[in-house]
This record gives sequence, C-alpha cells and structure tokens, in this order.
Amino acid sequence: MSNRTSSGKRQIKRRRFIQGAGAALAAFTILKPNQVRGAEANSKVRLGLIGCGNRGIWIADLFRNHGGYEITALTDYFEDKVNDYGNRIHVPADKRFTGLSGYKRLLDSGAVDAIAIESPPYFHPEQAAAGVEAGKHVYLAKPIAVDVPGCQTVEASGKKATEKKRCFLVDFQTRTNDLYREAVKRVQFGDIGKILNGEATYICGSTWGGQAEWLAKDPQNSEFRLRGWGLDRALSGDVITEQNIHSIDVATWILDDAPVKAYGTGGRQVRKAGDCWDNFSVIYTFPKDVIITFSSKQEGQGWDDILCRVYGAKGTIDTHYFGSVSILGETPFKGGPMDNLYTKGAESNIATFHENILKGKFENDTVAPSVRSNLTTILGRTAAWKKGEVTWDEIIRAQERLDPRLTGLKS
Amino acid sequence: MSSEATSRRQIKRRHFMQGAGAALAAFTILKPNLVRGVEANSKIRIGLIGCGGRGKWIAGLFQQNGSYEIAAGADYFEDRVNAFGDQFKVAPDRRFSGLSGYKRMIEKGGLDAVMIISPPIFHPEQAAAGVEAGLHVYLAKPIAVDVPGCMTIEESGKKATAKKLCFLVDFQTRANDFYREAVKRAQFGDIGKLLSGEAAYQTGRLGAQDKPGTPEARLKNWVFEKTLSGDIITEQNIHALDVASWILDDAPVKATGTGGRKVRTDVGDCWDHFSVIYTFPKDFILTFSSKQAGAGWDDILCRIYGAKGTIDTHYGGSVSIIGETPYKGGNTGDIYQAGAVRNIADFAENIRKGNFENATVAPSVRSNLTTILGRTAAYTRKEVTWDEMMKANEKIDGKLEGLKD
Repeated sequence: MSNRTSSGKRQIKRRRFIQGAGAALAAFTILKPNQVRGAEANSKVRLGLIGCGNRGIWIADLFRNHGGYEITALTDYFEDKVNDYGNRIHVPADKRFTGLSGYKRLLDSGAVDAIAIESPPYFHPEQAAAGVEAGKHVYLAKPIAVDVPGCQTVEASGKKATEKKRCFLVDFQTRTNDLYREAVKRVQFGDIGKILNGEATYICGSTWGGQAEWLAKDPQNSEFRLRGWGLDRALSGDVITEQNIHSIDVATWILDDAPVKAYGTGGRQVRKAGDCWDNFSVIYTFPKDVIITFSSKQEGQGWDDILCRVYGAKGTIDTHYFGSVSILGETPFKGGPMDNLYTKGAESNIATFHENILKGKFENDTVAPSVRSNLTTILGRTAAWKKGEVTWDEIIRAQERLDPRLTGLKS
Repeated sequence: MSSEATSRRQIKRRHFMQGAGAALAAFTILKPNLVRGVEANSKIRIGLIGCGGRGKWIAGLFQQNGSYEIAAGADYFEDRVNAFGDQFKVAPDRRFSGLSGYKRMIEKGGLDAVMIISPPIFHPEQAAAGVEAGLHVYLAKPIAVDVPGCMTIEESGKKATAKKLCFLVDFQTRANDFYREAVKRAQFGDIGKLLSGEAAYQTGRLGAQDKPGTPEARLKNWVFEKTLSGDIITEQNIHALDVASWILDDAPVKATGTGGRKVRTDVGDCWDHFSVIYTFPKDFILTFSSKQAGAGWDDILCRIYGAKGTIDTHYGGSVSIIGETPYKGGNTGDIYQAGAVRNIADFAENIRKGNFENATVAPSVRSNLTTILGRTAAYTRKEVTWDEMMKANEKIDGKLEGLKD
C-alpha cells in the first residue's frame, strides 16, 4: 500500500530517473528571463542564512566567496550567534532575527531571494516549506529531516518549488564530485557486473565536544539542548541520520534503490552527554536480496573513514569521503583522491545553486535521492532503536514523528 | 548437558586457565617419561589424513621442519594418496584410501602423530580416533562443521591432555607475533573501553575441482558443500571471527544474520556472501560481512574500536594499534605459511617437552561455535542465541551415500 504513496520506494526511484533526464535536457533549454524571479541577471542573489552556528557561518562565508551572493539577513534562535556573525559581515540590525520563529520574520522581511538552511535538522522541513511558500529558492543542508513526515514534507516542498519555478538544492558533497559521479555511473553501466553485496561505514571520533559542555550544565534545559543539538536524538535524528547519511547516501546512489527492510542494533558504550547513541550496526536488504552491511561509531579514537564499498561479480567500487574513489576489477577506474571534498563539494553546490537560479533550472533533482537516503537512515535507526527488523513499508505507514520537547523556548 | 559444558562463561574461564597453564609450562622441568612414543632424539612419525592440495603442502612444511618423518597417508581417493606417497616416499603398505582409510592407517600402527587436513565434516571423528589411539593430533581449522562436532573436539582436547598427548589447532594468526602483541595490548587496556567492532572476510571465488554430478565429485568439491565444509562462514571466514573472539576474549550472546548465493552458483550449495551482527556481553556489537565471489577486493579484517584507540588487523596485511597508546606492529605478509611453520614447530616442541596443556583447543571451539551461531542466524534470517544453538545441538548430515568405505 505504502508503495503507492508518494514516498513509495519504486516511485522515488522512477521519479529520480525522470528528473535526471529532465536535468540533462535543461542544459539546452533557452532561458526565459521572466522565469528568473527575484534575481536580476548580473545582480547578486540576496541570501538569508537560517542557523548561524559553526557550519552556518562557515558555509555563509563560502557563499560570500562565490561572488554571486549577498548575505542580506540572518536568523538563529540565539541572539549572540546572530549578532556575532551579523557584526562581522555587517548585516543591519533590523535584518537579524532570533527565536524559534525568527526564520518566518526573515522570510517576511523582503530582504532575501533565497535561503540557506543550516539549522538543526529537526527544523529543516518546516523552514524549507516556509521558504518555498514565500517564493524563495532553498539551499538545504543534510539531513533534510529527522523523521518520515519531515522527509515527506521536504519531498512536497521540492515539488512545489519546481511548480513555482524555484530552486531547491540539497547539499550532499559526494554527489557533486566528479570522481564519485564517474565511478557510480560506471557501476550503473555494469562495470562491476552483477551486484553481490556491499558495506557502508562511518567510523569517527567524538564530534560534539563544545555542545557536550552545554548539556553537562543541565541536560533538561531546552536552550542548552538546542545548543547541544548534535547530541540530541530528536533534534539531530541521531548519529545514523545526522552524520552517517553521507555513507548511506552513497550506497543508495550506487544501487539506485531504497531498502526493503533493515535489522539493526547499537547503543551507547562510551558517550556520556545527550541521548544519541555512539554506535550503530544495521543490515539492510535491498531489492533482489542485495545486502548492505552498515556500521558506525562517533566516539573513541584511532580510525576515521566514511566508506561505501559495493562488491560485484566482476569488480568492486571503493569510495572514501576523506580518501580515494576507484573501481577495482576487470574494468578498473583509477579514480583518485578526494581533494578537500568537505569544502569543495559545498562550493560546487553553491555554484550550481547560483547557476540554477540564474538559468531557471528548476528540476531540483537533488531532492528525490535525498529523501530516499534520508528515509534509509530512518529505517536503519528505527530497526536499531527497537533492536529488531523493520520494513520500509512499516516506517512509511507508521509516520512516526520525533518529539523535540522544546518547551519553554521563546518564539 | 553439552550446552552446560560449553556455556560461554565456561569457555572463557577455561581459556584463561589454559593460558596461564601455558605460560607456566615454560618453566616446567621436563620429565622424560611424559614424552610418550617419541624418543628424545628421534623423529616424530606422523601420518597425513587428507592428501589434497593443502595436505600435501603442509606435509612439505612438516618435512622441512626436520623433527618429523612423514610416515603414512590416508585419503578417500587412491590416486591422491599415491601422489602424496610417491612425493614423500611413503611405503605402499602405509597408504590408505576410502572413507575409513584413516582408521586403517591408525590401526596399522607405527605412528606418533596425525595431521588432519581433510574436509571439515570429518575432523571430529578423525581427531577423536587419533587421540583414542594415543596419537598427538595436529588439526586444521575449522575444527568441525556443527555443534556436536565442536563438542567432540573439546572432549578430544581434554582427553589428549589427560593422556599426555598434544592436540594443536592450526590458526596462523594465533602464532603470529604482531597479532599476539597487539591483542595482548588491547586486552591490557591500550585501546580503552571497547566500543564496537568489525570483522570481514572479502575474497574471490575458489576453483571447482571436478565436474559436479557424482558423490565423488561432491567430495572433491567439498569446499562448496555446506555439509562437508560448514559453509564459508565456518570454513573460511573463521579466520576473521577467531581474531574477534580472541581480542574480546569472549563468545557472543546472540546473532542476527542473512546472506545468500548470487554469483558463484555453478557448483555446490555454499552461499557466496554472509552478513551477521553479533552481540557480545555488555552489549558490545560486532558487525561481520563476507563474500567469496567476484573480483577487486580481498581483505581478512578484524578491527575493534575503543574509547582510546583502535586495533586494526589484516591477515596477510598489517597489524597495529592506532590511538593514544599506539603499537606500530608490522606486516604479516607471509602469515599463511609462516603461521603454519610456527605451529608445526610448536607442535614438535610441545611433544618433546611434554607440554600437554593444549591451549589452542578451547579458543578454537569458541570461535568455531561463533561461526556456527552466525551461520544458523543467517540461514534462518532470524536472531539466534548462543544458548539456543547449544541446546539445539544440531548435527549436520554429510550425505556421504555412494562413497566407498
């Protein structure tokens, strides 16, 4: 039944193919200037930043370095964060907005053509929807959402953006990288033969040191939880959705499919702060009984790797976000090392977003694969939290919403 | 009953005690009368059970060691035992064929020891017969294909100790200094509290030995037969899982698994890939995957993550600890041969010095049962506990009909 819903596995797959074809055609589309709303040719895109934390400021600087953008408004729940960055880049005081609804006032301010959403993942769906509703182009950080309803909201926002001739881009760095693209294309062309099985892992150390200090002061304080969102299950979606999505997204990209079911487990062995787990382990079953074995950790030391390796009858595709990408086997692809993918991938997406806005390319083909991989992480998380097996259809049907427990925050 | 005898905890405890015993043994003064059947300066007369490729290869290593005389051979196939016998100059009346050839070899007498390099289904009965006849036993992994087989080996190991016989299970990793040092350091706390881990065995396919269709071809293609080999997770992947249970020094509480047969479908019925999630005590999770088909990637990996560091081990590759208290380790490149050479030397020394602790048996039983737990979970695609597996005590039928005795 759920396969016939808008988020059915098959539909997501089909839609992506169609959009892919559309994107290719778009290169030959003659631009009609009246489609370019809110951004005059040769003028800068006025960008509002939603979320002025570390990554928000980091990426806003990349937008500024691009040259095609002007940061014209800022919002963050916390006044100190908005002002720190606002003072640095000279955003007028009346274009700085705070509180949970600050993003709404930013959208109503008339100061922006586009928004970059770099807030905690829990807020992404409502902020992206409001942006599209207000006629803005939307640049959205991964993960797109923390739960199934959130993913479906983002999916609907992406479609609505296309209808309204707005750009909606989800920022996965791997998908902009030429070596990843070439290797994945070759696998899908058959260069590793029939797919046998695969592995995806995200192995790293402690990621949220500064945030843990806020939670240590009072783990129940809503504002402290907001500052420590990376360690909070509902605000982040937990490690598997918030961070590990980078490796799982590559797996769903290579297989060009969504899993049928997952078995999972994991827990907290080392971590003290927050309620996110520090290790996950999931076995995904994809169509045709292709098994992807996934594991991750976000504490400890000594090993760091963001891996997706898929084995075929004739070869292996071996990808490392912070390493190299290649195909080994009968039809090898030398590939090469990643050159600062973390930054260059974002820069590439920022350039693409700008070009799409100026050229009126509204296929928004990053949305469907992002919905698919985000749901894949939620499937694994749901299985892991219950330490059992869960099917794709079950999570779509259940429509479970995570409760952020943000009582007492100012609007 | 047997499930009690081999409960997880007991295996762990026994392993510790044997480890301590083995350490003490270095200081034990040798009493010559303990060395049964082997005169001080004479060679150990050893018979080979299983004269296939690996059997002949390892017999050559025994010969090169200098402490052994290759004195007899048994294989189901007469041509194989003769090829072996010609190569190692074994008298024609000391070559035996048929399923019971090993019994006739043992009954013939004149041996001090046997090396068992036959298909895994036969290991328990052949090892038991060797110990029963008062012979030292050198046994290839896996020790058995099922729980009753593992129990039989456990008993044989104990009986060997009681009878002052050596019983050595040949895991190459356990004989490697880099592995030993790294594991010792991890157990000493050098990687801090354990967080999670991975084990993997990724490799290409093996070649078929005969055209399928007859009982004898099935025996030649034993490595592709679930019942004869134990399937790839037991027969081959045990190398990765043995290191995991060694580092953790524990057995899993339960497992969930899956896998199947997608690419190597021309011979036998073994799967060509497995995935298993093991839960060890204290909710420690070990993620395992393997494949035995395809091309492009080969690795026998066990990597355990801790709060302060990571132990990273690759059979034939590097072994190291990375983190706050690093251990540079080194490359284990020639471990496949060097490990066997070391075990062969240890076996001779144990026999000569009367060291009958047989410390390799308990950890081998534990890791072999760990592979069977994962296999059982994978076949049923369900969660299976260690206790359930032990209670079920499932015996695998080798389906040997049509073969001559």
